[in-house]
Amino acid sequence: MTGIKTHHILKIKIMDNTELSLIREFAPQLKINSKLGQAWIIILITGFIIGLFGLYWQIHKGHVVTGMRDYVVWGVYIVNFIFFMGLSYAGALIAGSLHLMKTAWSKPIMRMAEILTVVSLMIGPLFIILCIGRLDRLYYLFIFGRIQSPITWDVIAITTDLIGCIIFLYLALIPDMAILRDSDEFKDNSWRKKLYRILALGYQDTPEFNKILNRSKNIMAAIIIAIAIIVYSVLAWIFSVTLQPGWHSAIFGPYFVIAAVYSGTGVLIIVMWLYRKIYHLEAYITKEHFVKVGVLLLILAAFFGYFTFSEYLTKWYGSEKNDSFLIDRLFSDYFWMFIISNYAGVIIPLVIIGFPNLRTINSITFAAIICVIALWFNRYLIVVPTLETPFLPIQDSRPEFLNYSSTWVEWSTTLGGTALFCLLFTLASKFVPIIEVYGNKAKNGIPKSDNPIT
Amino acid sequence: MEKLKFISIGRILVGVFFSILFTLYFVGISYSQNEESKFRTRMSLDFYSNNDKTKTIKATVFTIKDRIRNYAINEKVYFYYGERSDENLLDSATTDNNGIAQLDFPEEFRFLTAEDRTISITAYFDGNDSFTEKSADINFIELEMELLLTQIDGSKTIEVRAYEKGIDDEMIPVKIADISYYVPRYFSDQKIGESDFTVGKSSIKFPDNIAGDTIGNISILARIEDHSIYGNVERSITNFRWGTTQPIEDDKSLMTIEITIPTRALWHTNAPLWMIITLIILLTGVWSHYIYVIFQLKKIHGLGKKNKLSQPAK
Repeated sequence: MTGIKTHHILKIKIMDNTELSLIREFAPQLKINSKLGQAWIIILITGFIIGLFGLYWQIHKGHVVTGMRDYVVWGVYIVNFIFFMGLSYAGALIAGSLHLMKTAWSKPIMRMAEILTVVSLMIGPLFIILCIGRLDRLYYLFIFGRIQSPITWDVIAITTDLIGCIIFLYLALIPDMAILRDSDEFKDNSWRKKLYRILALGYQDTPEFNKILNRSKNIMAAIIIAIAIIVYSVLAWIFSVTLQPGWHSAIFGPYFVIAAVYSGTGVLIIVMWLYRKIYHLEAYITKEHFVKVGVLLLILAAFFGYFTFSEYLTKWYGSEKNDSFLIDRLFSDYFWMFIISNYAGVIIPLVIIGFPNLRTINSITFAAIICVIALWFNRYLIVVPTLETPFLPIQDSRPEFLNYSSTWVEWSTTLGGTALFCLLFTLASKFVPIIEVYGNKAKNGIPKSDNPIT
Repeated sequence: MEKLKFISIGRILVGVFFSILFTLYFVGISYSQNEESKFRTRMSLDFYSNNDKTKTIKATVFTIKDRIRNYAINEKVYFYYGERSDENLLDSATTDNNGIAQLDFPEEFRFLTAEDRTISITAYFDGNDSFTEKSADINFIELEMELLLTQIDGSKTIEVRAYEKGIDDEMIPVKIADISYYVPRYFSDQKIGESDFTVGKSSIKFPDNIAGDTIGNISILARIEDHSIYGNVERSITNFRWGTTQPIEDDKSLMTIEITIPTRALWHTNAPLWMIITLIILLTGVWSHYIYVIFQLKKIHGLGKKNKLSQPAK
C-alpha cells in the first residue's frame, strides 16, 4: 500500500514540476487580458446580436422577408447548415484518425480539430431551425417523427453525433483539466478552478487512470469516424433520395463526405494560422504541420475534383431533360460561381501545394481560404439551381418565385451564426489550452508517464 | 527581261485558268442548286372505309431526296370528282406534319357514283417554292361489309360478308378480294389468318391458342388492305371472350414473367422492417459504446475519489 501511495505522489510531483511550467506558457491565451481580445469578443457579440435581430424580424414578419419562395424553398440557411455540418464531420474524421494513428506531430493541432468538431456541430443545426417556418412546432419532429423520413434520420444522426463528439472532446480534455486544476495560475476559489476540479474527475497521471482513459478515447475515436461518415451521408441522402435533377445521385453520400473533409481541412488550416499568429505559437505549430495538413488538403482536392467531374460528366452525357436544363443553368446564370467552386477550388490548392517550392505557411493558408470559399459556393450550387429547375413547368408565376435571391435577413442571421461559431471557438480556447498540454510535455525533454495517452 | 516577261505571262495564264475553274465551279453549284431547289412531288391517294363505317380519303404529298421523304407541310390539297373544275370540287384539306391531307365523311355520306358503281376522286396540289405541282386520282367501289363470329359445337368461326354498293342500294357480292384477320396487341396487330371471298362470303376458323386478357377477352379485326378496287376496308368486334386466360403450358420455349409492381409505402404509419432493423443495429452499436465510455468516466471519477482519500494531507 505504501508503495502505491509513493508512486502516486511521485506522478503528481512530475505534473507539478513539468506540465505546470508548460501551462504557464499557455496561460495568457486562457485569459482575456488584451484589448484586442476584448474587442474581438465585442465584435462577435455584436455580430451575434445582429443575427438575433434578423431572427426576430423573420419570426415577426414571417419567412416572406427571406428569399425563399414556393419553388426555391431552401436557400442560404441550408447552405450554411451543410457547410457547418461539413466542418464538424471533417474535424471528427481528422481528430479521430490522427488519434488512432498515434501520430506524434499532430498533437498541437488535435485540440483545434476537436473543438472545431463540437462547435460547428452546435452551429450547423441552428441554420436548419432558421429554415423552419413554424418554430412552435419544432418538437413535433421528436414526438411525431417517422423513421422512414430522411429528416428524422438527420435529427437522430446529428443528436447522436453531437453527443459522441462532446464525449470525445471531453475525454481529450480530462488530462489538461487535471493539469489546470493543479496549476497555480488561477486562484483556488475561482470559478475556473472549481470547474476544472469537477471536470477533471479526480484524474491523476497514473497508468491506472491512463489505461481507462486511453481505452475510452480509442473507442470514441473509432466511433466518431464511423458516425461522421454515416451522418454526413445521411445529410447527402436527404437530397439524393429525391428525384430532383442534380440531387438524385448514388455517389452523393461519398461526394458529400469528401467535400466535407475538404472544407473542414481548409478551415482547420485557417484556424491553425490564426492561433499561431495571434498567440505566437510558432514553436508548436510549425511549417511541418502546415505542409502535412496541406498535403491532406491536396489529396482531398484531387478527390473532390474527381467526384465533381464524375457527377457532372454522367449527367451531361445522359442528357436527361431536366439534368440538361440544370447544367445549362449552371454554365449560364451561375457561371462564375461554378468556375470558382469547381475549377478554382480544385486547381489552385492543387497547384500551390502540389509544387514543393510553393509550399509556405501563407500560401497553404491562401489555398485553404480558396478551398473554403469554393466549397461554400459548391453547396450553394447544389441547393439553389436545382430548386430553380423544377420538374413541373412553371406558368404564370412571379419572377421572384422562380429565382432565388437572398435577403439582408438571411445574411444577418448568417453573420450571427458565424459570429457565434467564432465566439464559441474563442471561448473554448479561453477555457482550455488550444494546444494539448499533456501530449506536448515530451517536447521539453520531460519523460512521459508509464502509459501515456499518445 | 524576256525571262521575266515569260514568267509574268505564265502567271497570267495560271490566274486565268484558276479563275475559269472557280467560275465554272460556282456556276455549276448555283445551277445545280437552282435545279434542286424544286423537287419532284409525289402524291399517294387512298380510300378508307373505317371500322365505325365512316369514310376517309387521304392524300399524302411528299418528295424524296437522298432516299429520305420530305413532306409538304401545311399545304392545301383540293379533292374533285373526276376532272378539276369548280363544280366537281368535293372539298379541300391542309396537310399535316406527315404531309397528309385528309377528308373525313360520316357513315350516311353518299359519294357520286358512276353507273358501274365506281367513285372517281382526283386530288390536286398546286405546288410551292419547294414542291412542284402534282395530282393523283383514285377509282374505288364502296363496300358494305360486316363481321360475324359464330360458335357451333365448340368450333369458333370468323365470317365476313361483303357486298358492293350499287345504284339504288343494290347489293352485289364481292368476288375477288383477300381479307386478313388480326387481334390487336400492345405494339401491333397479331395476324391470325387470311382468306378470300366466295360469293360475298369469307371465313376462317378461329385459333384456340390466342391469349386474351385476364378473363379471355379479345378484339378481332378483319381488313381488306390496299385493294385496287375497294381500297382499305376494316371492321372489328371488341371484347369477345374467345381468348385464352392461361399461358400456353405445352410450349416449353415460351416463358411468362409475372411482374409484380412493388408498392412504395413510405407514407405508411409503420416504417419498412429493413429500416427499423438497420436503425436499431446502428443505434445500439453506437449508444452501447457511449454508455460503456460514460461508465469508464464514472470509473475514473471513482478512482479519483479513492486516490484523494489515500493521499496524505498537505
